[in-house]
Amino acid sequence: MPATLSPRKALHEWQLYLFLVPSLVLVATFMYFPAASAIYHSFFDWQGGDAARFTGLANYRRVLNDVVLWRSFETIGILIIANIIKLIPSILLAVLIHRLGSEKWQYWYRVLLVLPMIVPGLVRLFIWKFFFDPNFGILNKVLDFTGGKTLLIALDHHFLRWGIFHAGVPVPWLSESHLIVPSLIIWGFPWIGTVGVLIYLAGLQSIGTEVYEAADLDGVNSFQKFIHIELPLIMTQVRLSLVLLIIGTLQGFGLQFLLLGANGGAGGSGMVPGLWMFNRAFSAGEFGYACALGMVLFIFILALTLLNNKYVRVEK
Amino acid sequence: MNREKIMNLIGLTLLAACFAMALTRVFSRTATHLGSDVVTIRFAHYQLESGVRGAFDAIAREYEKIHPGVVVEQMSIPENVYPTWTVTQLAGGTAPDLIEYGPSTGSDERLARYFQPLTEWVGSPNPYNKGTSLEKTPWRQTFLDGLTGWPNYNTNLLEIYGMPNTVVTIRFFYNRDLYRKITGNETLPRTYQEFIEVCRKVEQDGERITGHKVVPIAGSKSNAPRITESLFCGQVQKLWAQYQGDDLRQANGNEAVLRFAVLKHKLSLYDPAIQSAYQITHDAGQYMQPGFMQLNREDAVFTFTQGNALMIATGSYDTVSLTSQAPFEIGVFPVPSPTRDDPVYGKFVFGPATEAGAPTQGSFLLYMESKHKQQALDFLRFMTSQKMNALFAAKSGWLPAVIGVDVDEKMKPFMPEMDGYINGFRPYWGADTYRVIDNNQYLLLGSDGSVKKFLDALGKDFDAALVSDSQSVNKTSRNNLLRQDIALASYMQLSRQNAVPAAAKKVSELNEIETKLELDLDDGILEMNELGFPPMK
Amino acid sequence: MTDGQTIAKGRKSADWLKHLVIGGILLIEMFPFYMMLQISFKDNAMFNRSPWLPAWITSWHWENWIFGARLVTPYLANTVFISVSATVGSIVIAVMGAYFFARYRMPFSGILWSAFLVLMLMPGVANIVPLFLLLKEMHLLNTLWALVILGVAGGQVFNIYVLRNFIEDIPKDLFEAAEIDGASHFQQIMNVVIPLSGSIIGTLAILTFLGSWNDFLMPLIVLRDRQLFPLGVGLIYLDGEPVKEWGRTMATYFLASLPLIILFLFTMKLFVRGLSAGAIKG
Repeated sequence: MPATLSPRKALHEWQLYLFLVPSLVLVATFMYFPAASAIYHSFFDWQGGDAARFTGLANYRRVLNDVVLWRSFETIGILIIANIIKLIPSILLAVLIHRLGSEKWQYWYRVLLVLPMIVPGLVRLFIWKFFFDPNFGILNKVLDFTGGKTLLIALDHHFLRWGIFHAGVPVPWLSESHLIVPSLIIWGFPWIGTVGVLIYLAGLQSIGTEVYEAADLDGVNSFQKFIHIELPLIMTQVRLSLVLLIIGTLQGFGLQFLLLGANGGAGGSGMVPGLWMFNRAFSAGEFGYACALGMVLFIFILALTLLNNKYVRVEK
Repeated sequence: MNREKIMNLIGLTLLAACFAMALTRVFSRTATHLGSDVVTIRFAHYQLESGVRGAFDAIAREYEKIHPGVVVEQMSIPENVYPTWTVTQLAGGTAPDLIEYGPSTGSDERLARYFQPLTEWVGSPNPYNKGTSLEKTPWRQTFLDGLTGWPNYNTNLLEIYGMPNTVVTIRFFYNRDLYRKITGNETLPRTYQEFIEVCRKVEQDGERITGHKVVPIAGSKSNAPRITESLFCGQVQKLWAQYQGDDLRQANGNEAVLRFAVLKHKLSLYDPAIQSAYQITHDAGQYMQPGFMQLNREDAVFTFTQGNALMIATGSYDTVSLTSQAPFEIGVFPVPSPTRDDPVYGKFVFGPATEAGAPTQGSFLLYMESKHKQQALDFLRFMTSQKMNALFAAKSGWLPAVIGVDVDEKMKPFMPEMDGYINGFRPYWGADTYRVIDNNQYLLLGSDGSVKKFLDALGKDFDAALVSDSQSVNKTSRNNLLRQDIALASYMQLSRQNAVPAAAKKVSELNEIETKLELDLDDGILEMNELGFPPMK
Repeated sequence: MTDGQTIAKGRKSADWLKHLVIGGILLIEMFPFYMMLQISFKDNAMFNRSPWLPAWITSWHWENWIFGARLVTPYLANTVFISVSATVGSIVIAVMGAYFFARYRMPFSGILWSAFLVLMLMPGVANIVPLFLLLKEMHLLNTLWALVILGVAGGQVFNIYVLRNFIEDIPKDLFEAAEIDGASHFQQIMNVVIPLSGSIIGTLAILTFLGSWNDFLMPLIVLRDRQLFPLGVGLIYLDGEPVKEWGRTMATYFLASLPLIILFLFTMKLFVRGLSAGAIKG
């Protein structure tokens, strides 16, 4: 805890404020000011130049009727659920590594895990995009090789009736409207978030061996050990991951932009709220409307964050 | 020091060294840029096709040779980020002097706001054409199409904005070896009937003859429309002529007339000509790969170059890419159309359409806020002179846009075919109608598609979209008018004060433009009001 | 004794299964790496013929790597410049700011702290547009400085938050001793805070560095001239080329990953430890 001071000492230490000035100035200029500017400009019809026409709530009214926006919320809803499910492999892997007998192996596996993570995000993304390529991509080759393709064709014919899986025709993962959301979900297989695994591992290490010995004596099997010992103890980290994940997914659009382009791909199936805002600003030049979109998004996410924060604190 | 500290130290020193190198590189670069009297002209485009960049480069070097003190810089932006890039550069005020006309630069709003109209300079001859047959020809007339329409001449703003480099025609590229193998001879189809015959032969015998599946036409979401639109237009030739009245000679007709006819239900999408047009679209689609509407241009090109398709329809700009990628000989023929005596499709057509209206493209727009406007304009003149356009055509493998440029044998089949009838209209009337049609397209194409399913599905959505598009057109017209009003008022003031001599002439020009715009807008508003819709959004 | 041994043996016997699963997962994670490497030596035709297996060493296309190196080096210089500058600037300013909050409870520090905290809750999504226009007003568009400044500003909130907690845990006696010796606040930071917070500063530095290295969005919209592009934008442009030479592309990707890999090999222990320490604090 910082020490409290008498008013006289505080006056004497006035130079300390100078220490804060750089941070404050930077944050005020590049975070607070843009936020204020966004709120201000959301009430204007503005294309980024000097002239802006005041239109009051017109932008917000348009937001309410914006079909593309609400559809993008649906899409992001699906993606959030998928991402939550994608948390599980990280947890399982952490538990598996943790349960290994030898310390040396644990260390080496940790190192090997960090290695793929080092590959810059963009490179990983583009390699995955390459995986999706219809003609050269690995995904299609794997499907053809393992017979998965035939399965998909049958599935399409009898059940889905989408008309997109055909024999002899490469599957257009990223250019077919129906396949875009599945592609986004598949992306990143096997869904190990290395940072996540490391953090869970660190949390698991605080569990003493006595607990395990006691459980063994009681005849508890592996699965029950997981549910009753390990899971509760890493719950805080899991919860934190969850919160960060939801907020991150909600506002994220980099993945969609790079894989599908600024229009969200075929039929706009990959359009997510963040991307729509970006699109309106930087492809259509409707900066005022984009600000309004941003505001709506921000309020949404802020509400969710506050909700989550309350929930998380109480549990702690 | 233990091992870990040594490692950290080495790491840090490495990083410091890299940073030092990076620093020197970054700052040396900026040093050469500042503090020089060099005038830099930048032009940006998205033509990454092989040869084009080289061609532009050659032209830039030639210009620098005769203009010491000027540096010309080429910026090639990939097509997928081009719209984002141009919008941000324009909004941020950092745009290059010349920008290629492309997706997102073409809207009336954007043109009027960011780009310099070139109309006042196109009436005089291009000084760089001295010594050629075009010496005395006004700049505008030196181009194959006289810059009379899209993309260079904007019919709403009534100004010329773009200066082109090439002309584009659509052709069928075909695999000569494969063609010989399957049809047994070299004769090319001249009519739609013959064309369908070839396709049928490929479907029946292709696999048997070659040992693997061969598809007649390599389709994709970008290549298929080349064929289907051409066939569609053919079917609605007579319909279009009906609505244009005496104005048949105009290359770009009045699409508003059609739009209102549909809105007022005088013309319906179920009209036999339109149904036939969609039917022929469906039929052609049968001969492309299943699921072609999801594929991209590269996928279709890949299928073709791997010998899995006999033909692919694309623009003349793809010649070099295709010939360099394909291990077989490629031949070319025009997209065939039904003749008048075709039993199914003949009754709606006049005959094959002319390519005289083939627009000149690959155009560059002049940025209004350019710091070196006159120099950039001069470079434009240089680039579009006969000599330089010839250089461009030779190096890029593209067709020239300027009159009198010789075309090499290989490209001769691509030259626009001047003889022919007017073309019909394409079934797009704006962004919203495009979207509705696009979303329902799968009901038309595909093996179990049908015209009826498609048209039935369009139904109400299409009507609503048409209303929305009409409203957008009105809104744009009104905004254009507002913009012209300001210019007109200023010129009137100047002319009254006799401050600027050319002002009076400008006033009368603008008055003419305004009158047309007002009439169009009034028509638009009237029609919408009659139909009971708000005229604008 | 015997119980421990039996239990240990019992655990070891089930281990092979775990090794199998973990090994399997790691193999899949490493797969992109392997593909990247072996494709980078092929040309398109070779790749189409045999996509999975590496080609014979004699037919390797080394020129793919030369192409990659030539493409990546200018971008690399820009990226190093931006990332290092932003990291150094961010950490220095954040340490100063955190010190302010942690040392004494100065008047108004409560309000100021809340101001910072609120920003942590704020998603950045609404800011992109106004940020772009702010940079335009400041005539910072199309410069690398814009990206450096944004990097510094962006990292402040998180860095100060973490650093404040850390500094508060440093025993007050150390500070008071230094003060009695006549040390100014600046000297107190140098002699007390930095030595003790080494690991957390290192971790924050790495995180900030990573964030800046991987950023592509702001550079994409802020920069116009190709020579200013950092890696991110360069890779995007590479991806947009119509005829893709996959061999060249893979070589370029690999070279783009190399600097980070080298950096990590040196600082790995620090990072792993730092992450774990941060995690336990919760």
